[in-house]
Order: sequence, then C-alpha cells, then structure tokens
Amino acid sequence: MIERRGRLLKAAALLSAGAVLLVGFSASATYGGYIGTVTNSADAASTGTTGYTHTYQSTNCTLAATTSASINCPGGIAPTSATPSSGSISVSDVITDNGTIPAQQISEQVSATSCGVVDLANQAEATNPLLPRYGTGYSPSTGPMTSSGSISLDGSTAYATDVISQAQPNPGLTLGNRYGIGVWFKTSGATGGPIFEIGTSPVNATGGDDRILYMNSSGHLVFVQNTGGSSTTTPGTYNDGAWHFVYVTMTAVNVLLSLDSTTTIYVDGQSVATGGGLLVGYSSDTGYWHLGWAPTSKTGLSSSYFSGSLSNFVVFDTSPAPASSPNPNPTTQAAFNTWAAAATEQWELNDTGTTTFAGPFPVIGSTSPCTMVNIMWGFTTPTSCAVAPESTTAACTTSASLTTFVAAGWQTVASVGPSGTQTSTISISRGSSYNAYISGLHLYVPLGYRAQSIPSLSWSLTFSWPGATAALTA
Amino acid sequence: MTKRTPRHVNKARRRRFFPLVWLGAAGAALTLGLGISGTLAGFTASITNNANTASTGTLTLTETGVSGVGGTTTCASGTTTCPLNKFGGQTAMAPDIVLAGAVPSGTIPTNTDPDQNVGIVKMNNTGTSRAGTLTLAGNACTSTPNGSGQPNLCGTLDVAVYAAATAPTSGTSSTYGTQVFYGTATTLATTNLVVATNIAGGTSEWMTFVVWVDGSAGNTYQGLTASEPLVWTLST
Repeated sequence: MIERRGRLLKAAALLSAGAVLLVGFSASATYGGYIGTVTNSADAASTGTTGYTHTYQSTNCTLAATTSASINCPGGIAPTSATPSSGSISVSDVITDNGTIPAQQISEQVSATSCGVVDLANQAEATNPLLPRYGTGYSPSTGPMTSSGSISLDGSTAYATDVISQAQPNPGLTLGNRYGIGVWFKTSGATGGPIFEIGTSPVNATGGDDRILYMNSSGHLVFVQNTGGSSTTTPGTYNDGAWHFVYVTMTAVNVLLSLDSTTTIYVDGQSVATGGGLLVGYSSDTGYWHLGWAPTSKTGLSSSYFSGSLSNFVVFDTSPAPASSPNPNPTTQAAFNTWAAAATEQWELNDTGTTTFAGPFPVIGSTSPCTMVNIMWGFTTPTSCAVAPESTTAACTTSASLTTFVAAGWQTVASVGPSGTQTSTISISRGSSYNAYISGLHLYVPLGYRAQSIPSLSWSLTFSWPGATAALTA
Repeated sequence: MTKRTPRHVNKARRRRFFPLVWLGAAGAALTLGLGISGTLAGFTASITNNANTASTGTLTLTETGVSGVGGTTTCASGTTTCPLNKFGGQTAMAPDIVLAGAVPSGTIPTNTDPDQNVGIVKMNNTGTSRAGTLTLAGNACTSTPNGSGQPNLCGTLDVAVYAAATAPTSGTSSTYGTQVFYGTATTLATTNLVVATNIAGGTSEWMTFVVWVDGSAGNTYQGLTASEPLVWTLST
C-alpha cells in the first residue's frame, strides 16, 4: 500500500514537471528578436564628362578629357593677316561643349603663354638673326639637302632682314681679297625676283642697295655690284622648280687702282658667269642684309619680292672666302656646314617659326613689338571677355597690348555648358605706340584655352595653338 | 525501545495526507490541461480566469524618401528592391573636395551644386515595439564601365552619412545630425553601421547621405558609374 502511494507521488511529480516543461516550450517564441529590413538596390551615381570642339578658319580641333588632357591644334584662332593701319582685324572660333558637366561646374579660361618676335637663327652670329615678315613660311625639315630646312616667300609681301647693320668691306682695297655670298634657292616663277641684297634700311625701303642678286623674268641670275655700276648675268636659267646653290665671289685683282675686279657666279658648283674687270670696282657698304627683297629701281623687275624657297644664306665678309662652291653640291646639311665653316653669317633657314628674338632691334631698340600690338578677346553665348577687361558676364570694352595680356595669365570667361556653342572672337589692332619698323614681323603668341572642373580643378583639358601658323603679323 | 504509534493514529495521518496528494495531482493535471489542450481534463472542480491575456508587440521598418533620392516613395519592411537612391543618381558629377578628416569630423562639400548629392530618407519604426538598433550595411560596390585602364569610381566616390531624430534641411549641414560614416563607397561596402539605437515604436530616424566625387579624381574618372546596394535593418 505504501509502495503504491510512492509510485503515485512520483507520477504526479513527473506530470507536474512535464506540464511546466511543455508550457515553457510553448512560450519560448515570444523571446526571439524581431527584425525588419529594407534593401535599397538602386544606390548609384555617375560622373560627368568634359570635351570640346573648336571650329575656326576652315578647320577644327576636338578633345575629350578621357582621351588626353591636352592637345596642340593646327592653325590658329587669331588673325594671321597683318594689322591694318587703322581699325582691327578679327577671327572667330566656335566652341562646342561635347561634355555633360553643367556650365557652373566648369571654369573656362584663355591665355597667351608668351609673345616674341619670330626669328631665323644665325648659326655664325647668334645676335644677328634675320626677322621674317608677312608671308614667310617655314619648312624646318624640307630643304635642298638631307637634314636641311627652308623658308618660303610669297612673292608679294614676304622678306627678311637682319638686325645688325654691318660694314661690308670693299674687296678692292687689298689685292687678292675674296669675299663671297651664297644661298640655295628654288623657284619656278616667270617674273623673277630679288634673292638678296644689302641696304641701309632695316626694312623694305630703298637706300644704299648693293650686292644684289636677283633672277630676271627669264630665269637668269643677275648680280649687281657697286650700286648698279656693273652686273654679271648667268647665261643659263634656273627657274625650273629645282633647288640650286648660287655662290658669288668678289675678288680684287689690281689694288693699286682699286678698280679692277672679278666677279664670279657659281651655280651648283660650276662657274657659270664672270664679271667685273678694269674700271669696274667694288664699294664698301654698311647696312642690313635683305633676303627676298630688293628695290625694283635696282633690279628693273616688276616686283620687289621673291617668290620661291630659300635655304642656307651664307656671307663670307672675311677674306679669303671659299674660292668656289662645292662641286658637286653638298647632299647633307653637315657637309654644307663643313664648306661654310668660315662664314661670317649663316642662316640655315631651317627654323620652325616658333623661336623668337628679344632684341635689341633696329629703330626701336629693346622695346618689344608685343607692346605695340593690341588684342581684344571676347565671347558670346554666353557673353564674357578675356581682354579687356576680364569679365565672365560683360562684353569687352577695350583692348590691351599683347604684353599686358601675356602678363595677366589665364583669364576666366563664361562657360558654355553641355551641348551649347559659344563664339570666341579675337581682334588685333595697332597700339598707340606702334612703330612702322615692326610692320609685318611675325609675333609668336601661342594661345591657349582650357576648361577645368571646379572647385577641385582636377579635371582639366587644354587646347593650344603653338604652331608657326598661329603667329600674328604686326 | 521504540514506542510504536497506535494504528488509529496512522490511519488518521493517512486520511490527512491523501487529499494533499490528490490535490497536487489535480493541480498538475490542470496545468497540463491548460498547456496541452485539456487532454487530461475531466475533474469536476475548476475555476476559469478569462482575463489573463498578454500580446506581443510588433517591429516593422519602412523607408520613405524625403529629398535627393529620386522620389518620396515608401518601401515596406522586407522590400529587396527599394528604388530610393541614396547616391542620388546624378549623371554628371564632377570632383569636389578631397576627403579630409574622420568620423565624426570629416568635412563635406559646402555647396549644393551638382558636385555633390544630398539624399535624405526617413526610416520609420512603424511597429509598436522599441527597436534596439537601426543598422546600415553596404553591399559590394561596382564601377562601370570597367574596361582596361579605367579606374574604379567606388574608391573615389565619397560618402558621409548622418543620423538625426528630427527632419534635416537639405543643404544645411548643421541640421543633418550626427555623422555616422565618412569614407568612400568602397569602405561603406564593407561596413555594418549602427546608425541609431533605442528607437521607440512609431518614431522615425532621418538619414542624410552626402555623396561627391573626391577632389583627387583625375580625368580618367569621367563617364563612370558607381553602384552599391544598401541594406537597412531594424532589430529589437
């Protein structure tokens, strides 16, 4: 009986425990954590792009920043015609924004990095370069010999003069003295033209003109000595469109009279003409060398300008000059230089048109011609002005000298904005201090345009016009 | 010598003890009956307490666009494709300031131009229970296009995240609240942030995202898109 009661007690206890356990299990879910989630699947952002196209003077230049940060564009966006005697000359550039960055996020700026007078280097006398003017072109790697260059002259405006007035000795003062002048030329013109001369004017004005070599309308070469007192003419013609090297020697043969001379013209290494003689003397001259120009009063030609190409103008004004030109013609610039080692002046004429001379200049001394030419650079749609005065909202009201513009650095103008087009207009004029001496000089003023993201400026693309054809003409 | 208990005394004890046993058993059975649907019911004496109830609370999260996130829609709890774009979906962003400083003092762009995007969403605890935490987790960030030579925009897309208990004003950084994240999208992608705690049922937390392209990004970062899903979690 007692054992039975014990079993019942144990059963009751087990049931109680089991019931509690079951209750516990059934309530456990209420203690779990509640969670709510939302997933955003579209969190994205994109960067914009920058790119522009400049359309000007029958050409264009396009750049996207993802391709390159900078580009050198062909031609120029400024006028290349000479500054008019009054008023100004203008050229426009249409700028198209191919990017997506809003205008207010772009800083658009323009500048001129430098300004200088283009020169033709003198390998024998560095301080006396030739200064090309007007329609002079540059072919630094195309000339009559391997590794030589040349310049082209348009036959109507182009010429070059050096900057130091030199005294050319009279060959007749000392028996046996020999002086020489030579140059490579190429022309096919039927009107002829002057190739070189020396004269007292630092520009293209008549005065003291002597030692003139020109091609007549038939293609014969003519050398004038003693200011037209005598001339020597080649029997052959050379207006065949091929390169030829002409070398003229002047030799005194009777010092006592100083009137007995021998002039010899060599073409392509051959002596082709001899002049001078008794009572045909030389004269001493002091002046500037002119390349591609001589007065018609001395040549009898219809034009004072040469049409064609020239290379390696050499002057030997210290006796003895080479007795003759190399035969056959040198085929490399190096070989030519060996022959011309004694030259007192040598302009290889292989210049790029981008090297400059800082002076001093004849007439104007050390004053830079860049102070005498003014620029105005304005923009429309939207309206703004780089010079002058600089404004991102207002149009230009005046101009400033090239020197002033260069010194100002990058000038900020209004930005165009995606898919928009704006027009840039550059006007060139003569400043109040303009001197006639600088007429036609080539002013190398490489212009630049850049667009940068703001405020970081870390996105940037720059257009430059650094070529010789971008030079302004004073 | 032990004194034996008289028989009548033991009998009396048994009579007192037996009801206790059975009362315990009956209690256990009653408890069991309540727990397992009365399978052991059948005793006659019972008292029913019909007012003894208790209810669990609820915890639900919704996200509502306020500004700069491409809409003002409300995404329900459990949504996996909520379209609210915390990076703003800008298509022409340009570099702004360089990432500088650290949480909580990292500086953000001061302007409100397209160089940056200010996106604001309202995270709502629409349930009745108090939430312990609201967390933000970034998923993998992808940069497209990702061809040869193209950089990864995720590494130069800067993000600053703020949490506030009151509605902020876009463009007024002083109203954004507490800065809880400051870094690149790449960093955010591997981060699980507790952006708010102790959020009572029926209340909201405003989250502000300032997104910009780092000022160190060069030209090659143009024309790229960075995309990074974000996950909000509200927990008890």
